[in-house]
Order: sequence, then structure tokens, then C-alpha cells
Amino acid sequence: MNSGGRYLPRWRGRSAKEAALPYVLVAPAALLLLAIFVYPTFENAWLSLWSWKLTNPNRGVFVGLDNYIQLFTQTELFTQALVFTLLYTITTLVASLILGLIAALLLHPVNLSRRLLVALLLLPYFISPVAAGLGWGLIWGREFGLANYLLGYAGIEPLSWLADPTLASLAVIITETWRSAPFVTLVLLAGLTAIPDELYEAARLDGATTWQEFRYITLPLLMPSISVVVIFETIFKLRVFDLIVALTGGGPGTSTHSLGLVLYRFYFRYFDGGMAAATGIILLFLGGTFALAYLRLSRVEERS
Amino acid sequence: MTRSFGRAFTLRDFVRVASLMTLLLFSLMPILWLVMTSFKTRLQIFASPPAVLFYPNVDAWLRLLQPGPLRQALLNSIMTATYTTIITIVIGSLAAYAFSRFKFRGGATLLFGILAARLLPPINSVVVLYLLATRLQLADTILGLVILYTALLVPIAIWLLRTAFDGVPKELEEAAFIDGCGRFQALWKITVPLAAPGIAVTALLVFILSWNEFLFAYLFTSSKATTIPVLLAKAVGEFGVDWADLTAQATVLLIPVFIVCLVAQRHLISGLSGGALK
Repeated sequence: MNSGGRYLPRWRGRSAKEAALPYVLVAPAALLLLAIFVYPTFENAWLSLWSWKLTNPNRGVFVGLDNYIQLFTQTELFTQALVFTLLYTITTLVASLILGLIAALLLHPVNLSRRLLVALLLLPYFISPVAAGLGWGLIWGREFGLANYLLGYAGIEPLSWLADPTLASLAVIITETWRSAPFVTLVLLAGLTAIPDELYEAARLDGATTWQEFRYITLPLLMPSISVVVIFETIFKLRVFDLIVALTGGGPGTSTHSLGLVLYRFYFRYFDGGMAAATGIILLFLGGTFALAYLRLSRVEERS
Repeated sequence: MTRSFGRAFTLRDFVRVASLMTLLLFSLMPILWLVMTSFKTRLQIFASPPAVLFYPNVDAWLRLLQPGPLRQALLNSIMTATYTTIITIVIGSLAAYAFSRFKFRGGATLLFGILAARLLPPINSVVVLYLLATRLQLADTILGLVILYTALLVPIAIWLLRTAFDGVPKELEEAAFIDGCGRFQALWKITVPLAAPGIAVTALLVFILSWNEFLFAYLFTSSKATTIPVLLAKAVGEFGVDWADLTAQATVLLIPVFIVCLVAQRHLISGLSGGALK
């Protein structure tokens, strides 16, 4: 990381007040994060060991790991959502990687004339996921939807996209791929810009084909950017909530419930605080695995 | 891979342009369709085959101007996003400045901690904070949302602002310092103006992210502090929903994003792709 310079490296000659300054500057942000994210996470882990109701949070019973056991053995809602969330994360990740990579390769190098094109292609990623879900809801409609209309040209009978569990899952996956591919493009474009032109020139002198250039220069040198995308996107896709609420509402039935929606359901519909907390902790562990991978990766980058 | 001018238009170029056009169509069509729907009559919305060319109807937009639920939600969204942006930039700048200019014990760990905090699923905080917010009477208030949003967005802000401050040569600040400026005067008169582009991009991004935020708004507001995304999500499930009204409201939600994407396009790639986005 290239820092513009850090002055005042020696503290011994300075007053205690000066030495405390950086801590004072960081304190508001650090304390806020501690209060809003760190403390509730730990408290949540503790609360997940109790059986308690949102309607009466003060009168709980300590049950140990019972909530977790119940989640995995007795609630189809949870296991179904776990499977859906993982399926959703993996498929949308792979699809948006492929689509985003193609877009990045087509757009590179970004010069003045292509800038507007890039901005337009990035729009799906910057708009509210709620608006995205709502807009795609119009496309997936059975009678008046654009998807069925276009499929009609291919001779496919109208499908009830949002009323069939499998098709609804597919609709959610396509919509999220559309929404997140621009992020992949954005990061990979930055990665492509960092690859020196000389490498391609040398390869061309050696008579390399376009495929060989891609396979032996572009792809290997793009790997760091790709791993950043994979780790980040995995963490953020696992916690999906808004897009699904706006597109399917988790339906039909509970077929497109993600873990986030399950937590919501336990807490605000069944008022079951313990089960909600346990669901949150499982979500934390799923994401935490990838978060640790990310932190290790960025630490390595910071050092080099 | 620079290409020279005046070269013949090859088959390869054709494939490239055609693919880009397809991608552009795929990217923009759903958004365009949403905006178009707000200009349709009920009959056109449910027409089969879908109405592609039609005479625009502004009834839904006129209804938006009348007093209704959107007006309050719009006001809430604007206030929440504005306050969040100001507070996040202030708090974030203080921390980013410290990380950029000082070497202090535990500084690197603290920065990692701050960046790691945003990898915790926000929904995990909901179980605990909902009880707390109710007790502190912060549920369904703009203040409550602003506190949550600031915490949500301050890590990204610190990351981007630190890069902005790193780009200002320390010598300039030191010179002002030696010339008799106090530290904060040097900061205010030299560093802040020079880092202004980076600060502006960060502010725009923070504004958009809080403008779009849904999870906290959905769970922590019920009526008074409801923002536009929540209004939309609640309406979408209702029976007999008026799609023209709904898509017009959604378009209102999109307008600031359109503006920011066009205004800040120059910075989109250079500034935001450092892996810290989102």
C-alpha cells in the first residue's frame, strides 16, 4: 500500500496529548462499529443458547445448543433455506463471473469513448436491489411478462415463473446474476488495466494466438482480482435479503427463502428470538469462513 | 492493446461490437422496462403481447405529485441519506486521516478490525439492536436509521478516504505547519481541498448506498421513518397493486443513481474498484 507519507514517526519527544491524537481521531468510528456490529454479534451468540420470545425477551430458558439441533433436525424451513442460499450463492457467483469477465474483456481498455458505456453497464449494480427485484418482477410475470413473450418466439409455452418453486429459484438466480455481474466487470477491468502491454507484445512476437494470450497471460495475472471478487461476492451473496423480498417475497411458499428471510420469519412472525439468533450465528459462520480467507489474502497483499 | 486508427473494420471488431450491444441491452432493458411501465395505462401494462411502442401516459406521475405515502417516504429517504453522508464523512475522515498520517501502536490492527467489522452480517445485529432500539425509542426514527447507516458505511468511507489522504503529499501539510498554521488549520486549508475529489466520490457513494439501503429500514421502521425502498417492498406484495404507481415510485428511487453514475463515471473505475466496494 503506497502511503503518501506518515510523518511524526517518533513519539518520544512529543507530549502525551499528541500521542493520543490518532486514537482520539479513530475513536468515534471504532466505538460506533463496536456498538452496532461487534457487541450485538457476541450478544447474539449468547442469546442463541436461550429459548426466548420477542414478545417477552426477559423470560427465557437456557437451552444450550437446543436451538441449533432444532434448526437442523426439526425445521424444514431452515434446511431448505440453507440449501437454497448455498445454491443461489454458488450459481450466481459462477454465472456473474463468466458474464463479468466477458464484459471486462470486451470493454478493455477503457478510454474516453468507452467511459459512458462502462457507466451504463454498471447501472444494475448501483441501483437499489428493491427496484431491481421490482423491475424484474414485471419481466417474470406469467401473462404480461417480457420473458414469456421472448420465449414465445422460441416456441416455448408461457411459464409461471414466480408460481413454481424451481422456476422462481431460477428467476431469482438470473436476476441476481444480472445485478452482480457489473461488480465483477468493475474489479476485473481494474485488474486488466494493471497487466503490462509488453507481455502481449512479446507473446505476439512469439506467434501466440488470442486464446493462448488469454490462457497464459490474462487469466493468470487476473487471478488476484478474481479471488477478491469470489471472496467478497460470496460473503455478500450469503446474506441476500432485499432482492428476494422485492422479487418473490420468499415464495412460492417458502421455496426462495434465504437464511436472512428465515431469520426475519423466526423473529418477526413467530417471535422466536432463540431460533432467530441461532440462524444468524450460522450465517455468521458461513460468511466468517470466507471473511477469514479475505483477511488473510489482504494481509498478504499489504505486506508485499 | 492499443489499436490504430484507420484500420479496416474486421469480423472480430464486428463480433466485439455486437457482443457489447447485447450486453448493454441485457443490462439496461430491465431498468428501461421499469421506467417505461410507469408511463403505461393499466390496459397497456397487462397487454399481451407487451406494449413496446405506446403513447406515454403521465397519470401515475401526476398522482405522485399529490399528497400521498411517497411524499413522506421521499422526505425520509432524503433526510436519512443526507445526514448519514455528512456524519459518515466527518467520522470517516477523522479516522482515515489518522490512518493515513500517523504511525501509532495498534494502528494496523485497528484498521483491519474496522474493515473486518463490515464483513459481519448486519442482520445478525438486528436481533439484539431491535430490542435495544425499542427500549431507547429509536425504532421508527430517522435518528435511529442514521446511526445504523453510519456504522454500516463508515468502514468503506474510511477505506476510500484513506486513499484520498494518502494522495496528498505530506510535505505541503508540513510546510503549512512550519509556516505557523496549527495542525487543524493545515488540515482544513491544505489537505481537505487537495483531497476534495476523493472525498466527493466517497460522499456520493455513501449517499447512494444509504439511499438504497433496505434491510435496516425494513426492520427498524414501521410508519413514521419509512424510506422509499421499504414503501416499495411493502406495496409489491399487496393484492391489486397499481404497477404504474409502483414503477413511478421506483423510478424516483433510481434518479439519484442515474445522476451519480453519469456524473462520477470518470471515477467509477479508478476510485471504486480497490476491492473495498459494497
